[in-house]
Amino acid sequence: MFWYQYQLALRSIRKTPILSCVMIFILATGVAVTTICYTHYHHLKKNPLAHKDEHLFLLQTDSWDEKTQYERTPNHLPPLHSYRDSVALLASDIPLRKTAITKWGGSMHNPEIQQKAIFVRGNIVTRDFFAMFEREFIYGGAWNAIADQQFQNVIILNEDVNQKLFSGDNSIGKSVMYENIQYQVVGVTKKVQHSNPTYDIAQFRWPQPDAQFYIPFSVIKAAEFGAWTRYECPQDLRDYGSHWYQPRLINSCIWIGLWYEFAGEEQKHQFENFVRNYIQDQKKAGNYPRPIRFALSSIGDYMQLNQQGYDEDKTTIYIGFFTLLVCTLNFVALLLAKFMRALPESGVRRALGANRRVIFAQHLIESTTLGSIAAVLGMLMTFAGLLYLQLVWKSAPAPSSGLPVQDNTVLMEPDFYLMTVCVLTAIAASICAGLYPAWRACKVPAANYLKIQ
Amino acid sequence: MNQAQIKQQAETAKTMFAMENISKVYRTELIETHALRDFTLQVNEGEFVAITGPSGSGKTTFLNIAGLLETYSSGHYFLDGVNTRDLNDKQLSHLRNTKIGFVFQGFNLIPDLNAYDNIEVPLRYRNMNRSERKDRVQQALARVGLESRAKHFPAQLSGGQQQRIAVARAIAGSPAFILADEPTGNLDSLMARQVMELLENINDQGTTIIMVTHDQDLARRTQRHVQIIDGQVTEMFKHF
Repeated sequence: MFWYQYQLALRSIRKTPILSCVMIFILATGVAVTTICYTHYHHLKKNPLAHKDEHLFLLQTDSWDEKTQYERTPNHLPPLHSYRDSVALLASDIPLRKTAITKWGGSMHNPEIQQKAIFVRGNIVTRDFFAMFEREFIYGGAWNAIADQQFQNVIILNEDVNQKLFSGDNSIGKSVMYENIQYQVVGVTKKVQHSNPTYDIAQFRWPQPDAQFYIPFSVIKAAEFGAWTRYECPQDLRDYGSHWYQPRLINSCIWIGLWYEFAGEEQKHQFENFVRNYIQDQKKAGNYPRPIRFALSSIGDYMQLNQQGYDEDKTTIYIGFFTLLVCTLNFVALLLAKFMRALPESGVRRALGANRRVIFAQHLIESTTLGSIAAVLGMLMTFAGLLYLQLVWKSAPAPSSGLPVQDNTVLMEPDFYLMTVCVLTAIAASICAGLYPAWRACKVPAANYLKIQ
Repeated sequence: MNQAQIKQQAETAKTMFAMENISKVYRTELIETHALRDFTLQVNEGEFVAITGPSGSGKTTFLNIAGLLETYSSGHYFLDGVNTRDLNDKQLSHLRNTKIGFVFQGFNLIPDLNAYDNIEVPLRYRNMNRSERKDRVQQALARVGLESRAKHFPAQLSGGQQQRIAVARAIAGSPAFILADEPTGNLDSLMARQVMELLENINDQGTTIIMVTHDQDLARRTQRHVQIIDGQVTEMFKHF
C-alpha cells in the first residue's frame, strides 16, 4: 500500500509541477535558512578535545582582591594567573603534563634572505603543550625539557609562517629573527583551525587564529615583552607598578593560563591538595585575600559552565526558526489548496473503499515526498549559503597591523551532522505541515463529491 | 431469465439488502429536515431494482446511506447480513470496498489514471496481489467489451465507454450488489441502451443491482420498481 501511495504522491506532484516547485522552493528556503543560522552555534558547541575531558583541565584560582569578586567568568574565578603563581603552580611534579600559556607578538624575518619582516603572533608555552592539545608536527618536534627551565633560543613555527619564511621547506635547524633576537627552529606545526578556542576557552567563545609560533615559557624571564593577552590586576594595595615588565614577574596581575593533564582521578586529587596548600601558604604572605576557591575545569566543563554565553548566540537560531515557521505556514496553505482541489478524487477513493486512515496516509506521504525533495534542495541551498558566507568573511580586508584575523569561516563549515539536521528538519516540517491538510482531506464527506442525484 | 425463473429466484434467494425503518434527519439551528422517514426496503440476491422519485424525495439520501457514505439517524440497515449500525469507518470502508460496486451518473473516473488503473483502484484497497488484480481487471474489461481501451485515459474515451469502464470498475471486485446512480443520465439514447443492456447482462449473471433513475422506461425494464416520495416508499411495482 505504501508503494501505491508513494506512486500517487509522485503523480500528484507531477500533475501540478509549478505549484509543487513553489512549495518545494519555499520549504527548502526555510530549511536552508534555519540550517545556516544553526551552523555557527553547532560549531561553537563542538569540543574537539572531548576525548580528553577526563584528563585535561584548566586551573582557576581565586586570586582576586578582597573587596570585589571577579566578574568576567561564569564561575567568578580568574581564568589567568600571575607569573609568580604560575611558576609556583607549574613546579608541581604531580600532573602528567602541564603548561602555561600566554601570548606574544612581534616582527619576524628570515636572516638569510632579504625579506620584509612579518608580524606574527604566538604562544609562550611549555613543551607539554603540544601533546596536551594534540598539535601535530610537519617537521621536527617540541623542544627539550631543559628549555622550559633554562631559556634556549628555540622556536616552533606553524606551517603558515614556515611557508612565508622558508617557502614551506623543512626549516629545522635554521634561524629566524624575532624581535631582534635569533631563534633556532626546532619544529613546524600543522595548522589547525578549531571552532572552539580550546586552551583559550575561558577567555573566548569564538574561534581564535592559530598561533603562528611557540617559544618556551622560560623566555619570560629572559626577554621583556609587552602584554599581548588579557592583563588584569586586582586592587592590590601593594601595587608593584603593575604595568611595567619587571613588576609583572612579582605582582598579582594575571596574564598566564595554566593547563594540567592527569593520568587519573587520584593524580588530580593530589594536585588539588597541592593547590590548596599553595593558596594557604600564599595567604600567609598576604596574597589570596579571598576564601580558598579554585577549580579544575575540562573544556567540556567550561562549555557547560558558559552555557548562558552560548545561549546569547541563539538569536540567529530564533531568526532561522521563525523563517522556517513562516515558510512552513506558506507550505501548509499551498498544500491545503492543493489537497482541497483534489477532494473529488478523494471522494471517489473513499467510495471505492479507502478508509480515512488510508486517505490521510496518502496525503501525508505526498507532503513528506515534497519535503524530501525540499530536503535535497535545502541541502544544496545550505551548501551554497555557507560557501557564500565563507567567501564574504574571507574577502574581508586584512587588518593594517598584519596580524592574523579571527577566522570565522570555520563556523560556517558544512558537515554531515548539519546535513542530517537539514534533511530531518525538512522532513519533519513537511510532516507537520501535512497533518492538517491531510486531516481535512480524509474528513471529506465523500457523498458531496460523487454527484449522486 | 424468464419470469418463472425470476419468481423462483425471488422466493428462494437470500436477502442482500435490507433497510428497516431507516430515518435520516438533517438538523440545523433553526430547522429539522426529515430526508427519510421509516424507510423500509428489502432487496434479494440477484434482483434488479429501480428507485424513482421526484427531486427532493430522498433518493440521494437513500443512495448515500445504501452506499455507506452517510450514517442514518435511526433504524437498521443490513448489508449481506451485516448490521451496519455500529461499524466504524474502517469496517464501513471495508464493507463498501468488498460488497458494493458504484456506478455514477458522472462516471467519476479518475482523469489521470488510464482505464486499467481506474478499474484497479478498489482492488488496490483490498491489498490484492498484482497478478490477481491483473486477472480481475482484464476479466472486467472483457465483460464490458473494452479490452482494447485499457491504456486509454478517460478523456480519450466517449461517454458511453467511460460509463462502461465505470461499470467494469464496479464489477471487478465481484461486489454483492451494484449501486447505480442515474447510470445513463449523461448518455445519448444509443449509449444509454448499451449501458443498460450491460447492466442487465451483469444482473443476469447473478449480481444484484439497485438503480436510481428518472427514466420510467428504464425503470420498467427492471424486475422491481420502487417509488420514493417525501422520504418514504410510496409504491412498489413488480415487472414480472
